[in-house]
Amino acid sequence: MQYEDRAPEDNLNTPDHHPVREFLKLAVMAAVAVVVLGIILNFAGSRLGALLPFKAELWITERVHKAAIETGQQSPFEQKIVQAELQQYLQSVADKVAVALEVDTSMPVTLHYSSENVINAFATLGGHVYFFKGLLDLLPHENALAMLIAHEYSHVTLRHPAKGLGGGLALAIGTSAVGLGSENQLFSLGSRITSSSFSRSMETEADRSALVAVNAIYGHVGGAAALFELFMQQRQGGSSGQFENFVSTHPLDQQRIAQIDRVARDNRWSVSGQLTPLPDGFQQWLRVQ
Amino acid sequence: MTQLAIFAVLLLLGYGFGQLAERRHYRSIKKREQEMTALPAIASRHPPSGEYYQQRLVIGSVVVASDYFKSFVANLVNVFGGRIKSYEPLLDRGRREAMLRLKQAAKSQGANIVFNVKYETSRIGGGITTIEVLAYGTALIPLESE
Repeated sequence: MQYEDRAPEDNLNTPDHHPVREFLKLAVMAAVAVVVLGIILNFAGSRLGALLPFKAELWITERVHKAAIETGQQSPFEQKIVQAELQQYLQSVADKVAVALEVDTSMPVTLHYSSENVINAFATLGGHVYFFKGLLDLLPHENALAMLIAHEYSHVTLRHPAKGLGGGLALAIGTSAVGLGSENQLFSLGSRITSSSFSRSMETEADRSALVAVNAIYGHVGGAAALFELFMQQRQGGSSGQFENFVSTHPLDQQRIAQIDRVARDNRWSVSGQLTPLPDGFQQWLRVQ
Repeated sequence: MTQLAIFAVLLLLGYGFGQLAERRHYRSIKKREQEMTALPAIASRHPPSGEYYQQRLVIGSVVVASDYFKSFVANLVNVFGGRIKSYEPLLDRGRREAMLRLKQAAKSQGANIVFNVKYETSRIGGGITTIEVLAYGTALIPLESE
């Protein structure tokens, strides 16, 4: 018997393959799948989240608070406003906002203050609203402060934290269930884009609601845009481009300012009027905390 | 943004170095395969009859790693299904390299044929796919060459 060994023919087990073309095709398919999946999950999750009674939000935050204390950590819900004048003043503006927004008494809102130099404020589960010194320090007048407080109150009344929780959970459970964990960068970017667009629509909704309150309190919406002008100034020098808008959780500041004008025009509200100054010593109070 | 940039750099590096390594490896494989055609490796379990040989186990083993690009594309295919074309050259290279090493082992012992050749593949390590391909067979060494 004759034994022979021939070198294998080329491309027999590795036919022509264009890796980059295959990658691009798959990446587009995956991006579309993730965005569609993300939209469905986020939508369904936030709908479910909105069904969560406010009492459940209070229960969750209470549990987090207790767990933090039991493990010797600082509870995020412990941060109270220590400075008495600051507490009284913020609460007085918040009370006016609550009346204007007709906030239900079953939905108590708790104000928190952090002396960190962060330009931010946010509302979270259980009606807990946080203000940072960095942002309050920059506010030019009470109207801008009222806009800020009303914006955060609106998140609470519109149940945005619960919707966000529902949407985020549904997205996390859904993506891990189909095996698209966060380790996959493309999927993580896709889900970020989807959830960002949801957050942005919530921000726009909160802005609209806040304007109603500002107009009810002052009889005009003048000064409300100052908040976003301030953000814009702070961002200048940064990269507030198209891509940032795409993945950012908040709409671009220019868009928010334009929205104020649009909403005011549609409702025939005045965009200018007497601006109420912040009380003397406001900046001092911020430093005492 | 930073995360995305790191991901893009890894992908590009994986693609660049992966392709370079693959091309270089194939060039070397093809050259050595030509040199080794004189030593047949046969899958048959039955050695030639009527001749006397010394029999020895010979093995050729190689460990090949995928690159970031290939693994990422493979992960995407895992979602939609289909052939993982990016891994096919990886396994092909592994098998051919293992066979070349087996033949080298047989040749160095004076064998003129290897019988009962089999392959085994296993995945080793976590993270980026790394495979070991093992080829083993029975080298037949003519008695006079002893």
